[in-house]
Amino acid sequence: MNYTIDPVTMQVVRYRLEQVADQMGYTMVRTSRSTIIKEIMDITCAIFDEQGKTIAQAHHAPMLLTGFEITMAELLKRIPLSEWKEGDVIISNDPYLGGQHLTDLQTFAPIFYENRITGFVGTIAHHSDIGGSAPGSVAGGLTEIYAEGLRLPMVYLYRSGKENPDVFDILSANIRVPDKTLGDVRAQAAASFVGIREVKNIFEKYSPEVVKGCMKMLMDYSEKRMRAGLLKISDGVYSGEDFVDDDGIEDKPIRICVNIHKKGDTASVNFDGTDPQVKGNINCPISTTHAAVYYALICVIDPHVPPNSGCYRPFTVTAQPGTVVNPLLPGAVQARTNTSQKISEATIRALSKALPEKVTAGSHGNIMTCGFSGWHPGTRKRFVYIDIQGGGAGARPGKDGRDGQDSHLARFMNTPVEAAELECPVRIERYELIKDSGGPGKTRGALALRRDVHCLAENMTFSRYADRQKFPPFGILGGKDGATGRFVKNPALDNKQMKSKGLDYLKKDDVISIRTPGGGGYGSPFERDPAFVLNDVLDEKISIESAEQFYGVVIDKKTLTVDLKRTTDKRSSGGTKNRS
Amino acid sequence: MSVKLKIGIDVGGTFTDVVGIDEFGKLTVVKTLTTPGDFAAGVITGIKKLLKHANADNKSVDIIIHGTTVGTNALLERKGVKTGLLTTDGFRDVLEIGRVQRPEEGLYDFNVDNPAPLIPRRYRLEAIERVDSKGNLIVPLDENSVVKAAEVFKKEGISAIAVCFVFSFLNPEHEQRAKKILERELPDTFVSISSDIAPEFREFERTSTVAINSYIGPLIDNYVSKLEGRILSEFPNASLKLIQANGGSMRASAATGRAANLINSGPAGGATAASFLGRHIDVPHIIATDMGGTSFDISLIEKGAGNVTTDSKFEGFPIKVPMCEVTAIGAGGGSIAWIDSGGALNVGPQSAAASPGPACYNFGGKLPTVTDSNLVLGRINSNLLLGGEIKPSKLAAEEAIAKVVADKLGMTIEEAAWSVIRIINAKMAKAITVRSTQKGYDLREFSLVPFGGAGPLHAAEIAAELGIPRIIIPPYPGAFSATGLLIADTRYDFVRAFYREQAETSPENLWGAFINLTASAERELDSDQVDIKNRKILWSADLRFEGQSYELNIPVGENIHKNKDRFARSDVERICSDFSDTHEKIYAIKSLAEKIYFVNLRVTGIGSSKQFKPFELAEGSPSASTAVKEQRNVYFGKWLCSDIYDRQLLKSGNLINGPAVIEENNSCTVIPPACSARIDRMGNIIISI
Repeated sequence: MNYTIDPVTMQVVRYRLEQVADQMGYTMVRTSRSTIIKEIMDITCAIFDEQGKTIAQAHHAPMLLTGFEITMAELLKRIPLSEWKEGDVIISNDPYLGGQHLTDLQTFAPIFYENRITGFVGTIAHHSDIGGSAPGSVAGGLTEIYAEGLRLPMVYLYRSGKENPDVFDILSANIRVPDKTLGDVRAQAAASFVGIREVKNIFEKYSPEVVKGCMKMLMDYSEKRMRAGLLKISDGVYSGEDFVDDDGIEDKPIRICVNIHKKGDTASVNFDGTDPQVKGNINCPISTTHAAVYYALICVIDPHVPPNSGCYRPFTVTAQPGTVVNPLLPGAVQARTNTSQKISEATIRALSKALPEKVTAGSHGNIMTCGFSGWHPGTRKRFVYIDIQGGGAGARPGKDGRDGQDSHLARFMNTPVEAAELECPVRIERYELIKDSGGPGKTRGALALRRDVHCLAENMTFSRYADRQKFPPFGILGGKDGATGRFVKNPALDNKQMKSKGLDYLKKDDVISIRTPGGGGYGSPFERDPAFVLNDVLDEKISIESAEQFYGVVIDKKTLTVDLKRTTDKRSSGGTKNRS
Repeated sequence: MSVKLKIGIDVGGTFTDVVGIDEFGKLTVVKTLTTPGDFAAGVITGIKKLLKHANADNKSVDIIIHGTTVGTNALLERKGVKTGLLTTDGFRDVLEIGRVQRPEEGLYDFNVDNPAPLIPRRYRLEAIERVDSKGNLIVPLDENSVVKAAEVFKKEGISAIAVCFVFSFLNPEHEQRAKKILERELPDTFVSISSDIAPEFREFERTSTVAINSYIGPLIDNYVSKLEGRILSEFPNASLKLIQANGGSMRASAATGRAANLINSGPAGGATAASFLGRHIDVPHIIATDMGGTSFDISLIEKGAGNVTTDSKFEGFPIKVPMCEVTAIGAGGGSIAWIDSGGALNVGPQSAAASPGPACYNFGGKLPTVTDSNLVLGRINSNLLLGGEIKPSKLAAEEAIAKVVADKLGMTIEEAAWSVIRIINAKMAKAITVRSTQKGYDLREFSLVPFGGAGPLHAAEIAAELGIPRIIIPPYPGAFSATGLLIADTRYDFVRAFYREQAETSPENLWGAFINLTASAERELDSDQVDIKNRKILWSADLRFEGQSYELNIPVGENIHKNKDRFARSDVERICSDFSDTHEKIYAIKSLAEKIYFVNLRVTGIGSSKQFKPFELAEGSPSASTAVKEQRNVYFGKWLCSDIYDRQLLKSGNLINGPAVIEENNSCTVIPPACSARIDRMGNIIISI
């Protein structure tokens, strides 16, 4: 059959490429060894044209979407098209070469068709440990990238289809759980090879000319949709800010400011007003910063646009070097996730002024990342248990926030209690929603999560980074803030709050209670239907006291029904307070 | 002397299909309207209608195999019973938290949610107990905490309870005791426990499964017992069986404890029929597709058997019971065409369904659908839609396509309609690749078996798009799913956790564990009165490499329990090397001398259904000219004068060259130019692409 470059073939090629990216992700998840990949799925995969422009991505973490593109530009500068061989795979994790943070290993491999490079496949996966001073490589409070782990510039993992033993040896000598991590790295390579095979099949079927024509058309199409979305917003400057609690070194908030200059069907985004680079490792590398901004722009402007390079064309994003959103060497960046979440939230906040019906209130806005490590008392083997948590999503214009869900940018899963306990010497004692943690509003912010981890081994380390423990998820349009998060040591005994970013040693039978932040509310809680408030009380999602204090809904404790008269009186007598 | 009839009844959204077969292999097919609200009425009506057509009396009804959507619909429409959940202390929210991940469609869309939990928080209670990851009871069950929960359930008027404790798949003792206490305290309440329903690792997926089982359990009980009563009073010699999502049948009374097995059992009949067909014409690899008004269901048959998975989700709810792997997308005759904000043409997933229906039905639908496009392009005969019961309006179809699609895209009406067909075909093709190519299958080795009213209309273009070389269209494609019920085997699945490394697995333990499961399977087959010589006991094991989280199911053998020799070390090694090979085939990774772990053992008890001979068509010559009823223009990118055939008149050996359309009641087959078809001795239309 002969195919032509037309809108229908474009859709067909698009579906096929998206499916190949998903198939790559599936291969990685099924064959990997670490819970962070196989259960949590902190990964993604993408397909690029030969200029390194993103054509299709898997339905995993959008974090990596634009980030990949910056990495590809660096990669093609270092290795020009003429030097690539079929079967080559490059690996890198360098945030200063377009990477994310050191635990995110990225691979890139060329797609050869009829002896010419016709594109690339890329994979990225968060690994359990990449060496450095903290087990799991996730401690907060580190001050230089050199302490954070092994930094790999763009090096050959495979040459012409053969493993490069040097790189495997270097990796193996520098990381804590090589048996798992090397299996995970091979899973990334397997995903790449599967991706290449499938993309070639598409070229075979439709001819390179038609596929390339469709790719171009697809990018033009996405561009057109984003421009159409921009035209619906009035011209002007929209600014939004948010704060990172601290950098884990100094007790000082860090300001993130996003300014969107929107004109016609274009917009330029800068970060004027954002704080300079900091000592602690919350600095956000440029590729993550771009991803955070574009993620929020797509969510608000056109959430169902085919996500590819064309989406970025109407925008310019400029971040001053030396700021917390574009750090310079040797800035430490491992906890950049929580800064990128604030960049997305500040972008959403800026857009809330233009499109209030398309945004959400503030969400848990961080990924509470915990690394427990030590030696398994039974097998005496080293273990690293990395766990990341969902939290309270922000309330939406017509709906409550999603109780206990994943975060902006990332799309991930939790670790099943049984998976954690089968592999590591821990016992999860509670995993539940936290009552009254959602910000009150006409629609309610989502409830936060609590997970209590009981240590069953001596001398375990607990490294972590989290945020939104001082600056709560914000309410909007009259909605109230959500609850802040925290780490509590031994909640049944001394109930001591721990630093949000740090590294501690634990004793056997210590219990760490992880409490994530809850989402902010949307609109005035006095406008919430009392029936919904009662429902939340019956489900023990809010207390009777909160119903009265924040929502002005008086509930009879005996009958558990709404006292309509007292509710009307209460609501007419005035405003509500923010939570203390 | 009266004949003995075996009857398959498939209750669909609009029609109830009834197919009967007698001992001589004579097939009777009828259709009746589904009777929502009282499905049993339609079932009885349908059987009576069938008896009339088959010239048989009430006493001749022998076995009835029934595909019911009572459970599926209750879940879809959230109309299950008021259900309570009892969990380990600290874990009542596991059901609501799920895996925290937003749905794929919600990658950038804040408004896309996972389904709300079937059991609200207020009815989720906790019992004090704990089992550890080795199966040790480290906190003894506090019976008082269970009694207290029972009091709350009683006060709240709960009519079914699901119980899921952490690590109950390793040690079910606490769950079993909790069940006894609940049944003692609340004798009229339905109780199911996760270690009975889905004894596998991962607490959320297991909780979800047992919650579904309890949520629909009482409805299934009620429906089945009433239906069985009515059937027995009308047809005294009949026995009722239900089709499960695993493609096998079970006696009606067994459904009480296995309600979750009925979820998504709808497409199982079609998958079973397709494997049967494949075995009879020696086509081992099949993609079976069922295209009706709203959905497109895909199942894959490899080496004559459909894949049964325990890793399924239905409407966002994980269900850890064996289920025929069926992928469904919103694509059907009723799928609506629309232009998005970027000016691109899209089709579906919204469907006009039966109401308001496609524009051409004149039932009130004004939006252009796939059916409208097929009508405009001359691909379907307006006299045969819905069995000729309605007269569709081609004009209304043209108007809808012009207004919504053609005018906006600057196309002619036929170009617009053709684009709608191409897009819906592309979506269906993509869904097939997700189900096949993505799992490592090469479609060039497969044949496409399309059925359902709309399946044969789109099959040729989809097959061409995917490089599938051959299409097989069975007789009565509209009632194909019901035919599958007739040939479904009796089937009971059992699983247990068996977590240990290859080297630590003693052949004796492995044998013993399989034998215990086999005894359970035999008990069920005894209750179904399956003849010993028709029994098959299948053993298989789920294995993975150390550190992986996902297992592959590896067959261990058939009827091994009858062997004189028990397992030796070499049997353990053989199972593990089979696993390595399978892993390489699917994931392109060689074994790296890594440790292999057993995770679950599975035993399936099968009672083979009586095989009947497929019917044979009269032999004819290559020329099919006597079956041509007219010629008309059909659009294949351009208008071509095409022969229109009456399927009833075709004979074995007939050859048909495209462009052509073969028409029958409720369905028609499109043969594009440059394709040819032949009719085989079973009456199948075989199209070569």
